[in-house]
Amino acid sequence: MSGLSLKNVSKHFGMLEVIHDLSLDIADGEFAVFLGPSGCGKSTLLRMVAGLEPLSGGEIHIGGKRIDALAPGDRGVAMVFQHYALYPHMTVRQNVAFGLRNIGTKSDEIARKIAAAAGTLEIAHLLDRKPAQLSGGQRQRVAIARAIVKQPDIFLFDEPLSNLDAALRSRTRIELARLHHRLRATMVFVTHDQVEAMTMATRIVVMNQGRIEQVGAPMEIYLQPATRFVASFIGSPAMNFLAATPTGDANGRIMVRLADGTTVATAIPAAALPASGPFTLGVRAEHVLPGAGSPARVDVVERLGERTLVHALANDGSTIVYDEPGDVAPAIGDHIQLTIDPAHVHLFDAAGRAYHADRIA
Amino acid sequence: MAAPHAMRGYRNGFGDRVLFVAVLLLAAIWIAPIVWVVGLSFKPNDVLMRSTGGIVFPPFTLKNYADILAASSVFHWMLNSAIVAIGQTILTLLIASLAGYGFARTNFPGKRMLFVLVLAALAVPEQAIIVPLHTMFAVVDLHNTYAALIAPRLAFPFGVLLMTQYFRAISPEIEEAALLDSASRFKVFWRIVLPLSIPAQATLGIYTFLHGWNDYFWPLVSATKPEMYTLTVGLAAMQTNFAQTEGIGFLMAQAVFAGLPVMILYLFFQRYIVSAVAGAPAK
Repeated sequence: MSGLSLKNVSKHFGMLEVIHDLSLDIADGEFAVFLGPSGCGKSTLLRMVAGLEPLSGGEIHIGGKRIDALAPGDRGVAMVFQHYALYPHMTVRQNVAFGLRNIGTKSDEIARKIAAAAGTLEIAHLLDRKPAQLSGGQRQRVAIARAIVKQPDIFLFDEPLSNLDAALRSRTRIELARLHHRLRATMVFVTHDQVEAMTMATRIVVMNQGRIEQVGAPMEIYLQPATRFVASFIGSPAMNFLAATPTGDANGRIMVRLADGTTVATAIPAAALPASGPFTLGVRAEHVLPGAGSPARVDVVERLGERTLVHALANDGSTIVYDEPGDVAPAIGDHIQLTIDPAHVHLFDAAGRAYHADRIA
Repeated sequence: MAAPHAMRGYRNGFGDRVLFVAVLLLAAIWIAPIVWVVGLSFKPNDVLMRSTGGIVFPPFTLKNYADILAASSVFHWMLNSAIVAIGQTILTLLIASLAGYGFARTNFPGKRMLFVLVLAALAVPEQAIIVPLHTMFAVVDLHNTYAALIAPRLAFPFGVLLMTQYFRAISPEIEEAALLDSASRFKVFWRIVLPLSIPAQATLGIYTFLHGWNDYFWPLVSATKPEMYTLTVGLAAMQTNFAQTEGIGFLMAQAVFAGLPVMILYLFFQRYIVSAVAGAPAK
């Protein structure tokens, strides 16, 4: 068992607190993704797990054993860095063997492990090259091979795809997911790219300003964001946010009025909502439908191939984005009408806390 | 569309030619005195008494070099210079690398102030400290020893600055990767950081060696016994004795003789010097 457990972990640099009393459990074999904007503390947290940043407070356990006082090399973790961090003066073979030699692995065992990893990652023909002779993708594979041969309890990835071009990033995503499936290892992956998080993670940890905003499966986070921050960070295009005023309830479900006077009957239980305060209605682009409803004017049209995003201006000046399948879309300046699917509406209170329908599928 | 390309190509070609001629001219200006010195060293002194102009015409002689070799102390002075220069080089590389790594990678109270002090030492002229240095070494009775010739030159702030800057430019991720690969801090320094800093080490090493080999002022002060003279001090002493009588050819031969090891060293390490100047450290 090699699960990861963070207990009341905190980190501050001088007076600046970057990780706030954070607790988290990652199960054995999970592919957990720390997702958040730059500066949210996700890389710092990963480096704390790796032993590259000391903790200001709390404990870290791997497989039930406390490891936060151990040296990085003794924690049973392997890390793939953003810039690969290969040793430039060593060949690929020496790079991969370096860690094994340091722990006294016998030469024949090292050779066997290198051959196995090279076969898995298709780098056997690169073993005698230096890193400078490799492409970005090849370097990435070598960095992963260097991690694999150590057979760590936990793999740590610090934005390893950010230096790859779009096509290679997409391919490497798939390979990493395949690798995780094959190794059944616990992996922790840091990224600010929600696509990487959604496509690879078994569980996403959304972070903001040193705190965990939400932990959950990708679709759970997409469909039921815990906070307005999560709702805005996950999904492309970002969720539409409209000022809303509760006006009562119908059959126990809350009704709200938007700034342009439109009333929306949501599927959110009225009992769940606080008595007062300003609210924001959130709805994703795919749940805004053209048709009889609130008037709007087309402002921008973004054609993405399989679908088209239409940015429309409502009467009150707010922007609503919705998508049309394929290339069927109105022209800029057209007057249209939009309705909101009440089953997929979210409400957010002033503190950003989310309220959803009982069950969204 | 073809015209702009042709124009650009013409401009580049013309610019290259101008640059090439300028470089050739500078190189000629630079090398002319050296060629003259070498030429004069092969001329008989009695000829040079009349004129030092015609270095390309006979007669030529090896007598000036034979006279140097005949002076029994020259090889001993050369050995002294080698011991001093090599000793300074090895110890300076060790001290500057360790200090540079410390400044580049570790945090300790007063680090910034200490680094400023190191930099401030760059502004202290040698002449300002020569008397205190002499007094210090006299007090501990170390004059006329290799230790006295080597030690004062080990405080080399430029070396510390160079290595600090170089180590700072090496990606910390590489060292962190090595730590995660179970390497100790010393192993990270020895197996990862030092090999990556070879261009800077080579530059600093060559610079230190040249400085040590050509050093004149401090050895002149500290080495008062002829058996502890370095080559520069020894040759200068010979010049004082023979300059008026033996002539300019002999002086030039001495200059060539003293510069020969340095020239050989430069040719041998030229690749490192060029890569250190032109290249960037590994990221």
